Amino acid sequence: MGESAPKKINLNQLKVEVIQDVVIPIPQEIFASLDKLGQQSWRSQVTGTKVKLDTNRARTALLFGMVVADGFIAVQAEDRDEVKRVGRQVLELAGALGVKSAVNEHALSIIEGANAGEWRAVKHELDSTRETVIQTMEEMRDQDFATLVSIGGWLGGTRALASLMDANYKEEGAELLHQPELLADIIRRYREMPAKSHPGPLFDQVEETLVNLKPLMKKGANGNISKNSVTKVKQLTGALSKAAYGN
Amino acid sequence: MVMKVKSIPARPLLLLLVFIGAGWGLAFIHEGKDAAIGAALPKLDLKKNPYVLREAWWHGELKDGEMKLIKHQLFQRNDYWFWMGASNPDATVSIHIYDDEGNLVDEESFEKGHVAGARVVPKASGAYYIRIKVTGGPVGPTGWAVIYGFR
Repeated sequence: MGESAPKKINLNQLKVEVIQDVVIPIPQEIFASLDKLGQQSWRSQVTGTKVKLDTNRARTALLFGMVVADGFIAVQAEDRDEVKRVGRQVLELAGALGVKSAVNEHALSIIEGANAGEWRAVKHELDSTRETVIQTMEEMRDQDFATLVSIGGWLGGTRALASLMDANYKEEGAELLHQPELLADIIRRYREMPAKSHPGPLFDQVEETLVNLKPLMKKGANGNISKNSVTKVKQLTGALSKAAYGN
Repeated sequence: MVMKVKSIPARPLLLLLVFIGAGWGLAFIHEGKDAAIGAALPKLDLKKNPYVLREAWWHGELKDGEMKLIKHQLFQRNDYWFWMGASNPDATVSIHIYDDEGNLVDEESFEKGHVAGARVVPKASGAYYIRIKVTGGPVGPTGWAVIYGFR
């Protein structure tokens, strides 16, 4: 047995390193909690939006994260055709990012898993795909693109959560939007990237959206995330998603 | 070592092995992560409602007696296990979870030499702090890894 853990620590006075390596939750973590509140209308969140690629690789990286989030949503809806479409889209985006060979087997497994209705395996492959792309980009010294993949995934999951709660508001479901520290870390990471790594007006909108989300993704005095905040989160993330997809 | 995913496995254990292989193949072999995965296996292979292991993980180095904190977003109603492994098998380590006010919120925890684990079922969504420490030695600086699963 080791030493017993203190029941309370003073986070402000502790002189210890807080590791800055932020792990952004995948949509599945939020969806797992949401499912415990009862059945959700996941099918309403399946957009089937197709990506229109251009030469802006930063946009492609952001979209990669969003498409993987779409994959998690399609799995929740158990929509085989949409999951397979996401698998193919993942391959296309990975090709544009120069990481197709790293992702190929995962994407094929997503498609095979959808055919077999092996949803647990598909969820795992989606997380593997995301992490493989991030790791590969870090190895290629494309750290900024890796960050954009993470942010895209987070935005996609947040959009789905806000949209579901906007349609069927529940305090205990909306509470999942309470992510002020995570959002602050995401903004910090985003601002640490040199502007040249993410050119174009889309990324002005990304920063603006992240900043505008800050007051909304924090519990109010009554300890809740209000319906009004949920609606605004849905609108902001929905508009950004639309801009990113180019539709 | 890189294990390729050839097909979708039908059995949970097989799925788990494929998963671990995929994780190892991502970057490099890390003895601390290897140890943490070994500690996690029983919870990942539960016949009913097994934990889902995240591919993302943290790693670094700790000196004898050194403590670090990892800040991480958790969600209400989920059930999380965090596992820590040290690269040096002679190290003894601990891991515990605190809420954003510094209160210990472990549902349960264990320490077994160079691996340790802590379980938390958050009462509220938000930032939590994972406190990791090398409690025994002296072994000198050792590599560590923290992985987590949820359900």
